[in-house]
Amino acid sequence: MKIRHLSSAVVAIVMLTACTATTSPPEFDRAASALEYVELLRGANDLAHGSLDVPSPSTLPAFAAVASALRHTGRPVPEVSRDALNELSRRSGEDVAWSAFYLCEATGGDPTSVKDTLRAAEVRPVDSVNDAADRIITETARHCLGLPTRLRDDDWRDLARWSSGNALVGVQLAALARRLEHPTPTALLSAADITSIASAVEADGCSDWVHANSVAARALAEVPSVVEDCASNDALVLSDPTVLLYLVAANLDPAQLSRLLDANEGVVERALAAEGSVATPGTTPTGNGTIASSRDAVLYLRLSGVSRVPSWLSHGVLTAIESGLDPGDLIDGLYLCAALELDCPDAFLSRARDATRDAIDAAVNESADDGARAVETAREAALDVPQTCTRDRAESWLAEDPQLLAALAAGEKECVELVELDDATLTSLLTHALDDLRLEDALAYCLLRLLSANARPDGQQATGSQPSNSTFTTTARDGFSALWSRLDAENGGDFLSSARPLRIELAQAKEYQWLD
Amino acid sequence: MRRTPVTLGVVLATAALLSLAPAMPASAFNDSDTVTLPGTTIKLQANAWSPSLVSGGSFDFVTSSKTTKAGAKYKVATIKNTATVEARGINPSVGIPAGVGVTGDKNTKSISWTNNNAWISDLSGTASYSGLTASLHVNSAAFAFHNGVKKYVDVWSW
Repeated sequence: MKIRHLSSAVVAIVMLTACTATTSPPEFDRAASALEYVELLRGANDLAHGSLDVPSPSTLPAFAAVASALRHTGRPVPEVSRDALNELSRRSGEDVAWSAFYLCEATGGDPTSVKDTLRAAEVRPVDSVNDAADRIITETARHCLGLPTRLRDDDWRDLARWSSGNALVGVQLAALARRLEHPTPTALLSAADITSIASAVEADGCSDWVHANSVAARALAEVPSVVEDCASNDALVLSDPTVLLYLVAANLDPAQLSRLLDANEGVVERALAAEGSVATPGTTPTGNGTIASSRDAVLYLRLSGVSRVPSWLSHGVLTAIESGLDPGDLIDGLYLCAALELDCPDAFLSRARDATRDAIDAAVNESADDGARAVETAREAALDVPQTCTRDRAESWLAEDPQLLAALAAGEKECVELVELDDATLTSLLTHALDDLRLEDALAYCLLRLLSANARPDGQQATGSQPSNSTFTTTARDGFSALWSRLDAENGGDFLSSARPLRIELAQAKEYQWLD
Repeated sequence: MRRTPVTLGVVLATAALLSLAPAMPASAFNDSDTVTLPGTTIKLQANAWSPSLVSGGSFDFVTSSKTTKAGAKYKVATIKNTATVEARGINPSVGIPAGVGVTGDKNTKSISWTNNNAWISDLSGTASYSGLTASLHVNSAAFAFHNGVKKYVDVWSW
């Protein structure tokens, strides 16, 4: 599972031989489909992503806020699994009280695993505005979970004191007071808070957080017209969905909140996507692609019969190289410079060539990882690859590092002539690789068998294709098919067709070329 | 057999051990997102970096949370970073050595680091995986709490 690449020379040989063995292959469709797929992988930095599988774009605060707002307006909240919510909670890094608060808002008060922890949580004195915010949220969560409040009169006084002048905390405190039926909740929002909110409207405009504070202030007290006007805005573009929690806390009119949700459909949809999602055509990928995935994408396109890669990918690679690559990306960078015929800087090429030679030497002499990738890079970049195969080494690599053996064998046919590559041996090795989930090793055995067939002096398998009825081919086809089915079954049913991980797409392209 | 060990390890160097972590690359291979602490001009930024997500059974990553104001470092009462590594595939598995505070299940692991009165919190290390891993993702969750205002933003490297 160390290497995913094979040299362009091997690809060319294998594609040529595969074409001769296939009648009317839908090459044009495969190429068009491959190009379309790689376009979807385009990252913000014009490098390729490794899949279309986007982890959940939601966050716990965002999900809780939208769920709470939907509930406030009487709309249904989409079903979400407890596992997904727990994952959002874990990722958020929130402490127990805040997690409980968000989870309770998200689920509408269902008991959660944090209930006992919250019940036993220590009550600390309120000596700062941060303490006040924490205490308010703790008590809000306790109320949501059906636990009795622990606030005494002194606590209310301390909370009011520390929240005074901080409108956001004041709003939360006022909301808590209303929930707990405090006799005078309006007293908890000070005149200073209202003045502060009015100043914010005038200085910053009616942005979403200023709007939330205006709504809260209007619910509790007489407010200046500038605050009233801001509070009435129901077409606001929300930059931050968590503001919805404050609007619900301020008891915003459900009809107005409903109009706000309608005006922010995209925000709502993203916040509710707690179970993960997949990029769709036209979706702008979030974040940057990588050099390693770009190399995979280039090889994938070649195997799919695409002769020219998208110009954005060449541009992205050159830009990344000129900006300076991490040492771990040097070898892949060199591969891309050669494969895409880029005018890469001499200083980079010098470093990358040294790194490639060192990696080959380490793989051959010290059993280091990633030797095959370095060998394939060296061949792509027209560097000399040392003739290193001996019988002992080849036999060892056949079992221990078939990817390295296959990469070397692509340019040194003695490597496959030195070892026994009969069907029974290869089928056994292939079966073990598939059982151990060593995908790239299994593919390397397919290539070794193909290279072995081409190397035979008697002309057997002169077309280079695997005999379709051989035990090896049948075992390989069945084994890969079982792997793809398991991948789907263990990841939600349509994982491969929707997430389309590049590692698997590339493996399937190799399987197509080397077995069919 | 020279391949990924079945027993996995995700070694996370916390801020205190940052010298052991891989250096942040000069190249712009980071994913990041920035939000504003409500009612303030304090910016909170989440950063995630991972150069190669499915390669050789292991990968380096760096995540960080930073707060700034008017473009300069700005200390907040609490700043926290949570790094989450998620794998999908057949029996995908990631693990973290005992002794490091970790949450998660077999294919997802998270770890956090919190600093008080600071502008940055970061995590870094080398993660490895086993099973047939089809995709790997690193999430960086930035989290700040200052003057009673809490804010969160996260970003995926995928």
